[in-house]
Amino acid sequence: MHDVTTPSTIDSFLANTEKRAFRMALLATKDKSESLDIVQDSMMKLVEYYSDRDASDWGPLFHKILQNNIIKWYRQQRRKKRWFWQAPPNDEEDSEFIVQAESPEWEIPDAIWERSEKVDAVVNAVEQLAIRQQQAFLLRCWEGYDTSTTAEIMECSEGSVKTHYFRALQNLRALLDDQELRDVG
Amino acid sequence: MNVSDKKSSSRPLTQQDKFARNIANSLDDSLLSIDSDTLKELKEKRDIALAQKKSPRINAPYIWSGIAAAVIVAIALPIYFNQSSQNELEHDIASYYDVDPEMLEMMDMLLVLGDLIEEDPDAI
Repeated sequence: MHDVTTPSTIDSFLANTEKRAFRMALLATKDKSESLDIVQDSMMKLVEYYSDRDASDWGPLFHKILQNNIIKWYRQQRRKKRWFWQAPPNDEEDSEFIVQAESPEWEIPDAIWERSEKVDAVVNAVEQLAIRQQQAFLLRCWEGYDTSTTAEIMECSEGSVKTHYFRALQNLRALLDDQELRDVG
Repeated sequence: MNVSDKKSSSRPLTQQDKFARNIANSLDDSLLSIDSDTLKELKEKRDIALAQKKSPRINAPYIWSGIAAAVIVAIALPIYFNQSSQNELEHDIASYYDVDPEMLEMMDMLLVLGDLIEEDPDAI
């Protein structure tokens, strides 16, 4: 679980945050060098503009910068792909993946979590989420921010965060269920 | 502490909370698979970012705004003072001869007209 103890210096804050930030960027971009650039740019902006702010503000501010950079990158890629007449990436507006389930059953057999490849399966499933669902899920579930802070970071309403988060969970469940079925098959 | 942990203090974990926590744990585990080269690069990038703190960049937009303002002032001030000194001169002459400034303008026109007649008397 993520340690939320506030570091006293910005150096230690970045040292604590950089791996998770890199993983977040990598989940969105699936490209190592792009992810490193996004993380570096986010760190530079935090240091340049907000290093004198209270240490407790650094987390939300850093994630706001990081998520904005990821969205910026994502839009650039979409423009490029549109220019070259390629299919757009998985997006909320374009091809939202919604699981039709009246009463979702969240129970996943414990066995799936014991498999050696479960980490890869989870990473792969999170990668497949639409970008806003991915952000809502990572900020809420992984970073532990509440709905209000997540809404502030994502620059949207709390209702949108709840919707994105719920859909992310539904989609992850479906993806991991499928994964399990494939594994069993 | 993640969101699931926060919930755990107020009510028992639901299947959905457990599911989310399992995924968060797997994502934590995935950090262990980041290779040493990437970690080294991350550290380098962090050092670059922190170096800014020691030598803050001069804010370029402010500099360019300042230069633009200085250029505008340098161009506008002489025009303004030239215009106002011309007006003052006309006003001084008018008060010296105790005439209306508008009369002076008319006299200017008459002088111009006189010059034209002098150049070409057949014009009228």
